[in-house]
Amino acid sequence: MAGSGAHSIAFDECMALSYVGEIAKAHHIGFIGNFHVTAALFEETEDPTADVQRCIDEGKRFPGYVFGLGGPLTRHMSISRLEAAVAAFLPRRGMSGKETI
Amino acid sequence: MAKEPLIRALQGEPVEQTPWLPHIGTHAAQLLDVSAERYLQDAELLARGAVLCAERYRCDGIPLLDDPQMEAISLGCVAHWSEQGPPSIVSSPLYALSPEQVVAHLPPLPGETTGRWPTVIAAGIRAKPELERRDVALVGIAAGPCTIAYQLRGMALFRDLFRHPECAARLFAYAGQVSAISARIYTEVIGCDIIAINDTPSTMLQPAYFRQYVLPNLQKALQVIHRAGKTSSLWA
Repeated sequence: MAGSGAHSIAFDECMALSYVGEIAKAHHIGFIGNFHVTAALFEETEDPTADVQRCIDEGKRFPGYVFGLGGPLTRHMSISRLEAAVAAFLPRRGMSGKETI
Repeated sequence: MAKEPLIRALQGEPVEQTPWLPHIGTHAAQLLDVSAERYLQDAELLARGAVLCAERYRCDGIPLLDDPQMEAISLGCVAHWSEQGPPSIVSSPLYALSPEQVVAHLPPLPGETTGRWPTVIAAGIRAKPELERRDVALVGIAAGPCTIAYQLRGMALFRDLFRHPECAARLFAYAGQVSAISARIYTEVIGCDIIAINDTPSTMLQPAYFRQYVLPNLQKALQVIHRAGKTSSLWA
């Protein structure tokens, strides 16, 4: 996928964000991902704020990172949980990742 | 909301603030309190939904339509519509054919007046200036070659890959043309800033098959996008 010629890639919530970040960096492309939609929004078993932090910590270590969902929103869900994720993301978007490569 | 940093990040550049682009699916239908079936077939609702989601969640880019079945329906596939999510394909003109018959029965290539394209184009023309005013990128999502081939042929596609690779190759080449037409409409007719090629079923292929069948048939769509100076993304 990274070598397809596309400027960027997006991938599902099963992939490790830092692993994709390494590949994207090697190919000089952007990458979008991968907030855990299933656990945080559909099943409501994961804390949205904690998963936003995971994305920032892992994704922001690489150039070309774009915060996104690890899957499409294809059924009704708790809107307040998505709002909580966005509220957690916006003040964190300017922070650096845990370690910049 | 900031379009330019999103585009730069998608091109692999470092940016100060992490941009945000959601795979929004049919969520706008929930916000608008309408069924997904109605939402996905109504230009005004699609445009309102894109602007509403962009504002509510302060996105830097927003998809216009997130329905991977749109192209297949325009090629004559029959959809089962859903209350909350995108439709499912329940039959196709190619399902019951023998592999040898597939190439002769490929549907005519779609265009701007085929299937739901007029609705999608009308939605894009409405949404684009509204999003531009808010500095939000408009994202077109084109179905990728494996998605289109799979929807046209169903599970038989995977049997064809093993037993009738020549037929499978012709079907993938056709699907790549359809994908490139979608990319052209999103790029040139609607004026999307970013065009994503969504090809989730391609993740079911082993890498050798991905390289043989998918990669070459993505290139036409990518060329269309890049030639117009727009930004591409591959979603799986």
